Amino acid sequence: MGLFNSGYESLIEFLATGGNVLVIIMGTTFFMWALIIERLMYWGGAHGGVVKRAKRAWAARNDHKSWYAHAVRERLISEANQEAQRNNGVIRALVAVTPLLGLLGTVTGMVEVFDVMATTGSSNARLMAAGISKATIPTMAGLVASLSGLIFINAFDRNAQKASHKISDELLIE
Amino acid sequence: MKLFKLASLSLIAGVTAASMDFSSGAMSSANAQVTLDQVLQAVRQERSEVSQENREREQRFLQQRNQQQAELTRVRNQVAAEEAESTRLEGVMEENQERIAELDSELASKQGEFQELFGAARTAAADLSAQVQSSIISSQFPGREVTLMELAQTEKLPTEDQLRDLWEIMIQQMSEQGKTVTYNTTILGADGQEQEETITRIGPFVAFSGDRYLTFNESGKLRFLPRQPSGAIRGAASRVENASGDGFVRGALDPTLGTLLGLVVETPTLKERFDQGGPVGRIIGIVTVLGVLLGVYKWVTLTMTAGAVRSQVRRKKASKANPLGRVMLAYENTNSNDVETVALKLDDAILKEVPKLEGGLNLVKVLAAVAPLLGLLGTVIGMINTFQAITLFGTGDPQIMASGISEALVTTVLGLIAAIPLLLLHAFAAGASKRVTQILEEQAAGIIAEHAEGGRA
Repeated sequence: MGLFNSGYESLIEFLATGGNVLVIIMGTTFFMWALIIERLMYWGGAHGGVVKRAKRAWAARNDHKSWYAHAVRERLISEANQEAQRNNGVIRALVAVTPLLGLLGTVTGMVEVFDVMATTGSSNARLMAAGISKATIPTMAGLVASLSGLIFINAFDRNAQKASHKISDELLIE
Repeated sequence: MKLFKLASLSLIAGVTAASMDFSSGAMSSANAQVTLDQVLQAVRQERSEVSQENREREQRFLQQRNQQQAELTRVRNQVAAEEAESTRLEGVMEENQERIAELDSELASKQGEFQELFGAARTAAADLSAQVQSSIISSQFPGREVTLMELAQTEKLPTEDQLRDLWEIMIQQMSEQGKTVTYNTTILGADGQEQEETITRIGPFVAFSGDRYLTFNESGKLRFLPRQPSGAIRGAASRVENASGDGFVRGALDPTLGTLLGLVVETPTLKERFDQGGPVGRIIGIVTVLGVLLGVYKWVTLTMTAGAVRSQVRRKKASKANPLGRVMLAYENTNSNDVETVALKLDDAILKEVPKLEGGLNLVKVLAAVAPLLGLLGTVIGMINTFQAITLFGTGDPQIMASGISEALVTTVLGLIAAIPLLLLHAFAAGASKRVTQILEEQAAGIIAEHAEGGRA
């Protein structure tokens, strides 16, 4: 409990030094990671079920030769691909957006630094420190969030491609 | 020989004079017969008159000189008297000064240690007076600084009452610093008129009335801050005002005794910030509004279309209201049984649907890409303005450069603020559009085949 409390307090402190933009980055990162975890669960188990269902549907058909059969096969493969690629676009967009959010934090932090200079008319480093930490921490957080997502999104894309090839190989045309 | 010459000369002169008299007498008239004797008589008389006159004048001058002499003597005497008086007075003054010094030293020796005490009291009074004058607490107890200033500036020895006032005010100031009180006082309204107001004060830190914060100015009157702090801080003020006295309420206080609240007025609002962006900032604003409206519209309509297509997959009856239904209708209207003709017809129907689905998405993407570029444009324009200001006025005054720098930063911020939601909206809308197109391009044939086979079976 004490550990949780001190962790919570240090998180609050970190968010306070990073400013509002850091809170937005945190929300965006949580959303991205929810999607990533959903994908991890899919590749951990659900994908096997999708492939099995497609194979069963194909095996249930007597006709594996006609135009109709080709059309149905395409549809089965496309459905499996859709399942495999679900949310990939949004995760990729979020990977692109988090560094931009970090940059936003940088610029708003710099605006704050200049505000301090304008109102106090001095270049007191101690007064500017709050603005500078608001400029640097979100940049770092944005980059970290983006990199963490980037590793996974590339793996998911590769997996989806492999799965697509594999399922086309497995649904045999006579 | 010489004597003879003189006599002959005077004789000539006498003759000449006589002949001249004679000729003039002869010329003037015959009845005014003037003899030389008469002339001589007249000349003599005249000379005696003149000398008489001169004697009289000489007499007068002498008399005047005597008078002046007497006057001079009198004045000299006066000066001597005055000098004597001055010397006497100097003596008196020296005596008096000696007396004063004597009395001073007597005073000092009699005051003894009290001398330092009174000095300390005066210093303390001056310090406390300055502190009291700028303290919000003085709005509750006006006029305290007058008593203190009297004590600080007086030449005389402080009276017992003044000394008592000093420590009473000191203790009052101390005890009031720990109190939160509500009281009535006059404040300066926005129109410069005084008005009665119930205010709440937390120690010497902040004062507020009806969730609006007040500042204490040099004239010793409270007035409302021209710009109030944010809603959360004002909420804290009204919580403190409405506190019943049980338990704790959370309030906001200004540990700098008003300096931070003063800076609230300096901090620009969101609207002012946006205006700092200049024309480029406004263009980015327009781009953002257009892009967000279009993106949201596309996302909503595409999600609805995707829903309609999914329900169409489950139903056999083709509907004209969704893209997949229209493709299926195109298949049903084909009479030919030739597979290639059917395939061509389907492709044709699908090609008609796809542009409708994807239309507008690219515009959102372009706007998302353009917004940061516009921000960069604003940055560069702002920097140009800054350097122009430096060229004209030098780097002495940072305030002159401030507007260019804030334009540069604000447009960058606006560009990023525009780009981020547009990118996300594009991702969502493109995802929905991609799902529908995939269903149309890859599955339409399959769905139709399934339906056809189902119909045949």
